[in-house]
Amino acid sequence: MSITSASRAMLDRYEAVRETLPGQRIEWLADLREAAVQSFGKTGLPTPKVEEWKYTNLRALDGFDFSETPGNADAAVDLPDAVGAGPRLVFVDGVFRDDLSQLRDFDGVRFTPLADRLESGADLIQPRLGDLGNDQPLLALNGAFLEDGYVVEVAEKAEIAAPLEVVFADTGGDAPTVRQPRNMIIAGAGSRVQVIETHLGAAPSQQFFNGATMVTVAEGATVEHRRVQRQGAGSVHVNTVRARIDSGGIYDSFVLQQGAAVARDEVQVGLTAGESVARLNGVYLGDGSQVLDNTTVVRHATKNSISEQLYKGALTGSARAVFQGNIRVEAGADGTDGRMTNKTLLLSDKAEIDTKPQLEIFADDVKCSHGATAGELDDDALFYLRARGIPEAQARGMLVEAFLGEVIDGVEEEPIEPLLRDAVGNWLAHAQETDEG
Amino acid sequence: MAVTQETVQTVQEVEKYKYGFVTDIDTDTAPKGLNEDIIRFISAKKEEPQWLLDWRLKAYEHWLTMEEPDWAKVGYPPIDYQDAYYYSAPKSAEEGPESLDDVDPELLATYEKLGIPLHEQEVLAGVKNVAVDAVFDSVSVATTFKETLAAHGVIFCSISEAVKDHPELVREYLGSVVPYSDNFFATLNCAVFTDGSFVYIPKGVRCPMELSTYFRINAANTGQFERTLIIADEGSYVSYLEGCTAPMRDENQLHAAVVELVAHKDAEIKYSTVQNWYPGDENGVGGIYNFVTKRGACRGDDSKISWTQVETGSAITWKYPSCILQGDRSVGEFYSIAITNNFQQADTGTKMIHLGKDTRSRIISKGISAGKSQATYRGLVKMMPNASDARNYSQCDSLLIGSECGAHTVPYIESRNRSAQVEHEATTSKISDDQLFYCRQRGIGEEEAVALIVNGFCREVLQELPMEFAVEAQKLVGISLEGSVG
Amino acid sequence: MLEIKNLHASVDGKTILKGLDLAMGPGEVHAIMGPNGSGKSTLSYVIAGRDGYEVTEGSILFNGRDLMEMEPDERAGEGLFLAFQYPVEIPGVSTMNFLKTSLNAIRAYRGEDELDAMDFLKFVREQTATLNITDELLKRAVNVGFSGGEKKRNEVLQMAVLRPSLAVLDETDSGLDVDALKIVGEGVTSLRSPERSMLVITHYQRLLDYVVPDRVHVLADGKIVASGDAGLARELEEKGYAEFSKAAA
Repeated sequence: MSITSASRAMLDRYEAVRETLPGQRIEWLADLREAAVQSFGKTGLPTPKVEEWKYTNLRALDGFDFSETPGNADAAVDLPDAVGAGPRLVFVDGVFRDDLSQLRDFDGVRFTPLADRLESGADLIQPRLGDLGNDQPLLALNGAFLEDGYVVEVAEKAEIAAPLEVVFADTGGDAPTVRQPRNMIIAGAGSRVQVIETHLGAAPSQQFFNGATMVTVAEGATVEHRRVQRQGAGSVHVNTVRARIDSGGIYDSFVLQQGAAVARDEVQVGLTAGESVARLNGVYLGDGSQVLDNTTVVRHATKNSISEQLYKGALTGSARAVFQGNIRVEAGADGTDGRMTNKTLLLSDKAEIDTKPQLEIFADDVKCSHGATAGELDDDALFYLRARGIPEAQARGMLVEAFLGEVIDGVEEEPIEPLLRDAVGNWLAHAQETDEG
Repeated sequence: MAVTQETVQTVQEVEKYKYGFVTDIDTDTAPKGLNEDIIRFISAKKEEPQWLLDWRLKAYEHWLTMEEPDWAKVGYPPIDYQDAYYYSAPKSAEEGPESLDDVDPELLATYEKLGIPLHEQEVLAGVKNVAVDAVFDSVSVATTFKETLAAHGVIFCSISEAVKDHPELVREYLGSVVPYSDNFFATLNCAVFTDGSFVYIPKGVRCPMELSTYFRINAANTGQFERTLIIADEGSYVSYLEGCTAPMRDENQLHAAVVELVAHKDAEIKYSTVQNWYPGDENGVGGIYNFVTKRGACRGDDSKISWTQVETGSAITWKYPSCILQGDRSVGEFYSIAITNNFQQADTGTKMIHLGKDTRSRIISKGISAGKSQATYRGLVKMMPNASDARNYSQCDSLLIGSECGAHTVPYIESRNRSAQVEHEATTSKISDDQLFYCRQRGIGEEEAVALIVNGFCREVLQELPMEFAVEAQKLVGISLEGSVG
Repeated sequence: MLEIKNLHASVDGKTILKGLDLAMGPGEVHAIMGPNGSGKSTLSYVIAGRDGYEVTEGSILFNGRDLMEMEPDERAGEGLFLAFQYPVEIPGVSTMNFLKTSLNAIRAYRGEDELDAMDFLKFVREQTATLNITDELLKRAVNVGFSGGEKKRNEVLQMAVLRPSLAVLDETDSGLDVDALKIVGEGVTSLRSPERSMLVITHYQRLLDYVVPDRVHVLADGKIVASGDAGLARELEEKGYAEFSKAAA
């Protein structure tokens, strides 16, 4: 089987840099890398011939020249203000920056770069790195290169009040770069934590970001995972989250997809014990020729688990959005309640939405439903607002904000809420400007 | 409601698959296997013109380069395409009976047993006249009411006859909706199709009766590859019904049909199917592989094509009756009931391709799985850039009976027009113990109660069927689910 | 006509009825009253034969026949009717269709001919008039989108149509306002006859103002702990169940 030229370039690059990857002295890590690269080599990067990648093409990567490895360890970067009052880890151009991070101690949580834990925390880290698996090419690729990332470890019953923030920033440069961080969120029984990931990039940079995060939610724990994707306009961004939820646990995910040329946020949740809950929500704002993909796979593997999904977006220019949702209910998973909704507003003539909300049900005592809509703003509502004296642009803005507000309401009163409302407001202002121009 | 009552009784009366008998009749059969010679043999048997033989050979050549699709949620052992007969015809039908009086009495008896009247004086279900084209294995054995229809200018005959009598129409339309290179099974059909029905409704004519084709697979180890072509010229209307059965046999038999519909300006085609091919036994042995390509083109403005299907038979169903909505304001509809029981697998749905302005489509799909069966709805709704103000509404509901079956929904929605509106909803549920007990407390037996509830679940689709078929379909719903409870 | 002896029944392995005895003659109206959790609904489900309600000891004879041997629909055929506390919604099946299917199934069980469409319609109309049930409601799917009162009226209508020899009314008064209670109460009363017995299961006295019982039984902890005439119901209303429950323990 032939692989794409970007896939070949990845394999070549691996050969070139393998001696310089983190954790050289750690034997088990070298073994993991080797297994991962072997696995990746068999398939290469997925193409649209693979059903799961039917709508999102990574061919843009074929135009990237990855032969150089720019070193940007001391790059200057303009960081946004912290979202909340918690600690913040900052990675710039793939390198952890102690000088830019705020590491504050909190009772009950260890929040560190992965590199700090590879040796000292091997007992915790090693099995979980192996766990993420090589069954998907992009995870295998991430496993082969496995760069620094963050590790959140929350003690049993610890409730962490302030959000833990992580920033992945790219300063841009002449040569394309690849960033492949590996992260972990490990929440002990009965604990509660919120993690906010922000992905930033300089506008023109050709960056391939391929992140992977393993989340384990122990019995009765709650993990809120927020991701703000605002990478540079030239980037290809793939972020895969795999979460395993124990009984009574809750994994609550929210993603804002706004940046990058081609972006995919993929969340795979295994509800492996009773009474576990997955809430997956997202907002996407696309313009220009962006492709924004949200993919979810929720597996109900045992009785009485719940999943709720709501993804909404607005598109202008010739942007295209993809939503692929899959609720899979295994045999015997009676009492499953699974719901999934995807709604998209097409605000321009060339915008496009491809959506595939899928149900695979192998148990009979279940309640599952999905819904999807696509279209422009409701004429009647628009007219009603205008008849009350509201100018068209404003009326449209109100309706778009109301439309997306349904999802943002889900993170009401969280530190991230104002940021999201601003993002929508600014995006709209820009979109309307572009429309008029 | 009278109909439902009848269902209840029928469930009690009818044995599992009453169409499972074999007709013992002399047949003329081509040698086993598939090659150019077989295709030439079929073409020669049918005295086809050169262009059609060339088309068949072109399709065959292309087919050799194709791979069998594997994306559907169905599983079966590899099919040996060389281990089947591609042509089988009753000897008595070889000569082409001039009139109904010439048809082999054994064949007439067969259709009588199937409940399909080939005597024009017998009227089906007492409602109104239905013209029937009866296809037995590879050939059409009789077509009724030809003269009555001819008086209105309606052409209704077997496609073999149409090739001879109306070559210009066949040449213009054959392969114009489903091209020879379309997909693995359709391409195979182009190469080896044997018979099927041909309908042409002239401009402004409202077809005076329902037209129907009754497909029967009889011979063993024989594939049936029928080809149906229906053309509704400007301002015309036709309602067409299709029924299918096959004997009970332990080996699987392949049925790979192609149906092409063309609706011109202001024309309407209503196509209804009650598919009751032999589904295999309760252990999953035998049954028909029903791999069918059905597609309609709404070529003209304000045209309409409506597919209604009740799929209860076949071991495997792979079928996506579709509409290409080219004309402005054209309408496509798909109403489907798919019931699987025992080890049956169904992967069925539709494609609605919106090209013209103000086009409308509506999809109502009801899937019922029981036993160890798997039922999948797979559908595509596509709004192309010029489909301004187009609308689609889809509703896909699944009902599970028992804990060992599966029900899946795989919708694809692609919209490239801002003013187009797409709305899709799907639910999965089961017959609740409460519902069953409530019915039973009111004196309704368990299987009847299931039939009643399932008929309620399917109501929106059943009411789309022509009266004669609705009765038949309601009975089938009950029969197909026999043994699924308790 | 109904004879329950030493009935023990359990649900999910938990014993609910613990030796219940009850005998009813033709045309009699008995009320069973009891606090929540005393086993009232369990009794109605056991009589009607719902799955999951296991009889571990004792017997129920209905017109001399062993009910335990019969399926729920056979029991209905024998003339047993349960008015559900929570009538079930059946989407897509019209109430009219449901009534007709049910009536004809019971007639068939008894070896009687089906009613034809016209006779059936006439018959149903006669029943609906008194119950204030509109034709529109008959067209709607069974109990789907019905108000609480409409659901209970629909139960009484079914009882009127199916003409049982024993009707078990399980908390038929629950969730009804005063007006709806009146309609339902009068509806039930109008169905009293020497050939029809009724077992009215209720928490409150109020339905019994309309349907005056011949006998009242107090159910507590799975047993009948007291029986008396209609006066007992009023006594209960005043004193509450606590006293009788104590007596049971």
